[in-house]
Amino acid sequence: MSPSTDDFGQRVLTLADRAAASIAAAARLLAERALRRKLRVAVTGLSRAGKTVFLTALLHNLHLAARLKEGQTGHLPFFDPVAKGRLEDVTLRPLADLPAFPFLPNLDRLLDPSPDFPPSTTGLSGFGAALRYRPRGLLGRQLVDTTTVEVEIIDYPGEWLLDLPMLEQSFEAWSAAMLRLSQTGPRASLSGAWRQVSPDAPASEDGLEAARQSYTAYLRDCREQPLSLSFLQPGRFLRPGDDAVDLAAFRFCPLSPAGGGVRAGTMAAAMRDRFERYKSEIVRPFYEDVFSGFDRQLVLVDVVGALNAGPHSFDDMRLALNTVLRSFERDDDGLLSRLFRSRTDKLLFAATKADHVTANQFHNLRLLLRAMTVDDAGRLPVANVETEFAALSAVKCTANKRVLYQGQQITVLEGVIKNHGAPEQLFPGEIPEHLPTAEDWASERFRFYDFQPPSLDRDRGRGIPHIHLDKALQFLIGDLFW
Amino acid sequence: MNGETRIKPGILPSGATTPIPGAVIESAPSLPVPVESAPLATARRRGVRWGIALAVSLAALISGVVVIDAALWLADLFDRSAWLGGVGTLLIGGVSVALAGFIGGEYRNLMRLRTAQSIREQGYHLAEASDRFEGRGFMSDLVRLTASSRTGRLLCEQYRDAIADTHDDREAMQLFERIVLRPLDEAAYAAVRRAARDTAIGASVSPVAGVDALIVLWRSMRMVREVAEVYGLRPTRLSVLALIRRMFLTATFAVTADVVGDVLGAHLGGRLAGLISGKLAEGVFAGVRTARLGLLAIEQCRPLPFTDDDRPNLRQLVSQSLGSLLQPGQRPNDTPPRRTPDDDSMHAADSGN
Repeated sequence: MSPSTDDFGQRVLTLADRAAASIAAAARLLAERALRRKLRVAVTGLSRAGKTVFLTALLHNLHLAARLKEGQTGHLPFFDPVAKGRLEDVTLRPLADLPAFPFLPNLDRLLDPSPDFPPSTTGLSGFGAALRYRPRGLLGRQLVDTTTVEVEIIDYPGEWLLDLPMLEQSFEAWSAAMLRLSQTGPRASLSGAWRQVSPDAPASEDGLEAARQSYTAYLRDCREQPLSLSFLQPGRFLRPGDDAVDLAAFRFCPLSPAGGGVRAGTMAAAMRDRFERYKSEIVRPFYEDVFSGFDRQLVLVDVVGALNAGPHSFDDMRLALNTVLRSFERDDDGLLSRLFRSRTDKLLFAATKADHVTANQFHNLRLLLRAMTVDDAGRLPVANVETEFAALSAVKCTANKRVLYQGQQITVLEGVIKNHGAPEQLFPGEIPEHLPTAEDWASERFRFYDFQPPSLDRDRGRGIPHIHLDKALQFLIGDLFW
Repeated sequence: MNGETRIKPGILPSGATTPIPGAVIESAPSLPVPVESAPLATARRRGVRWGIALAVSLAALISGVVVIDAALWLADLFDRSAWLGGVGTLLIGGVSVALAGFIGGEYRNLMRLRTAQSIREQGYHLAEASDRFEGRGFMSDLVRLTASSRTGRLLCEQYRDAIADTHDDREAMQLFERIVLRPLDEAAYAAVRRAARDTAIGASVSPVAGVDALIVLWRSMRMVREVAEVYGLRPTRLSVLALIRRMFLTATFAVTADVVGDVLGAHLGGRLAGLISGKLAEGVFAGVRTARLGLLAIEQCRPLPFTDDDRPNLRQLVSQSLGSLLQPGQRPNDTPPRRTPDDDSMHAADSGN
C-alpha cells in the first residue's frame, strides 16, 4: 500500500469522524430544543390576597435555589428539582409580550433593613424564569446533559375574572342585578351620585364620565375597610390595567329601567352602548388573548382577612369566588368553551397569610377554603381540571412556639405585629373547618393580626422563609421536570 | 386542641408564658406513639426462661468463684507482706475497672441498638399522620441517633436547615427520608456490595473448604458493622451479634436460589452458565448470601422503615456487585451502578455526598 493511499484513507477517516461528531452535536442541539418546554403559570387573587409578595418571594427563592451547595435544599425542600439537586441554573428575565413584573424594586423593599411589603400591582404583568436542570429519564439523559423548562409567571387581578358573567347579560339585566345588590347588606349604606342618574336624561360625555367616576368611587368604598367586600362588578373599574387603556368603554353604571323604553340619545341608550363596548373591547379580549394562554393557575384567597372582616365580607368573598370559578369551567356548554378552549389543566386554590395562624390550623384553613369554593351540593364546579387546595404564606412573618400559659400547653405565634414595633406572642385562636356559623361570628373569635415582614439578612443568600410555597410550586410545575 | 379553646384569642401579656424546652411545636414527651410489641419477640419469650436461669446462675457461680478466689489470693498476699498486698489490690482494681468499662460500653451499645429499634417501630405510625405536630420529640431523637456518624452529622445539618416549624409530622419525615436517609442508604448499599464482592472472590479462590466459610463469616461481620456504623449505631462485637440475631428473628426478605442463576444468566448468557466452574458458582452463591445478610442488616439498622418505592432490591444489588466479576476486562470498582429511569435513591446519593 503506497503512502498516498494510506494518507487518503486517513483523511477520509478524519472527515468521517468529524462528520459523525457534527451530526452528534446537531442531534444533541435538536434534542435539547425538542425537550425544552415552556408554560405559562398565572397567579391571581382578589386584591390584598398577596399576589405581589407571592411572585416576589417565588422568583427570589427560585433564583437562589440554583446556587445552593450540594445537598442543600434552601427554602424549597419540597420542590423536587431542588430537593434532588437537579436544578443547574435559573435565569430570570422580563417577558417579551407583557409589562415586566417589578421584581427587583419589590425585592429591595422586602430585603431592606427595615423591610416592608411591596405595593400591590394593578394590571397584567409577568416575569420569566428559565430553569435549566439535569433530566432524570433514561431518554432525556441519553440525549442531553441538561434541558430547560421555561416558566412564564403572569400576575393579573382576580377582579377581572368577575366580569365573565357580564358577557351573558344584557345591560338591563346586569343593572337590575347590581341595583338589587347595592340595596342589600352593607352596600345600602353607601351613597353616590350614580344612584341619581336618570335613564331618560340626555346623554353627554361629561355626564357619562361623572357616572363612571361616581360608580368607581362606590366600588372602591365597597372594597376598602370597613366594608372589605370582594364581589365588585365590573372588576376592571377598580383595576383598569395599564394607563393607556381607553376609558370611554368604562363610562356606564347600573341604571334603573327607563319608563317606556329606551330612546336614542338618552343616558340609558348611551350606557347600553358603552356596556356592550366594555364587553367586546375589554372583557372578551382578556379571555381570548390572555386567559386562554394560561397552562396552570394559582388563585390566592385571603381567607384570614375575610374572617377578620366579618360575615358580610366573608359571604361576599364566597360570591366572588364562585363567580371567579366559572372562568375555570371546562364543561362543553360553558360560556368560556364557546369563547375558546381553556388550556388550564391544573388549578391551585391557596389560602394566603397562613402565617397569621398556628401551624396546627393549616389543615382547617384548607378545609375552610374548600368549603368556601364548593357549591351547595359540595361539588367543585371545575370539571376536568386537577384542583388542589393549600394554605400558604409567601413570606413567613411568625414563628410557632410551644408554651405553657395559664397551666395549659398551647402553641402561640411569635412575631412583630404591624405598627407594634417589638416581638410579641399571641394566641390566634382557631380556624373553623366549615363555614362559620352565626354563633361563630357572634363570639368574636376571629381576630387575626397582620405582621411586619421579618428582617432578612441579605448576605446569607438564604432566600425568603415561607410556608408551603415549595409545595405549591411542585404542584404547579413539578411534573415538567422528568 | 382540648382545653385550648378556653383561652381567648389575642395578644398574650409579655412574660405570661413559659417556653417548653426542646419543643418547636406540639412536641409531646419524646417517643409519643405507643410501641406495639413485636409479635415475634413475645412468641419466643416462654421457652427461653430456663435458658436465662441457667445463664444467670452459671454467671453468678463463675463470678462468685472468681471474686472469692481473688479475695483469698489478696488475703494470702497481705499475709506475706502489706506491700505485696497493695500491688495485688492495684492489679485487681485495674482489672475490675477495665471490665466495668467494657461491660458498660457493650451495654450502652446494646441500649443504643434497642433505641434504634423502638424508633423504627414508631416511624411506622408517624409516617401516616399528616397535619399533626406530635412527632418533634421523636424527630429530634432520630436526628440525635443519626448524627453520631460524621456523614450523618453533615446530613442532619442539612435536614435542620430545611425543616421549619410549620412542617407537619409527615413533612418532617419526608424531609428526613430524602435528605438524610437516602444518602445513608446508598452508603450502606455500597458497603454491602463490597462485602458481597469480597466474599464471592474469597469463596471462589479459597483452596480449602473450611477457609471460605471463615472468610464469609469474617467479612459478613465486618459488613454488618459497617452498615450499623453508617446509620449511627457505633457497633461493638456484642451488639453486632445481637443485631445478627435480630436480623434472623425478623427476616422478611425472601431469597431464592434462582437469584444466583439469574445473575449468572444475565452476565454470561444461558448457554455459558453451564460451562463455568462449580467453584465460581459457589463464589457467586456466597456473594448472594452476603448481600442478603447485608440487606437484613440495613433493614435492622435503618432508623425508619423503608417505604414501598425505595425498598432495596436484592437482585439489583447482587447484579451490581457481582456482575463486574463475571465480565472480564472491567475493574470491579469502576463500574457505576446501572440506573433505571425512575431510580431516585441513587441520584439522591450522588448529589448528597
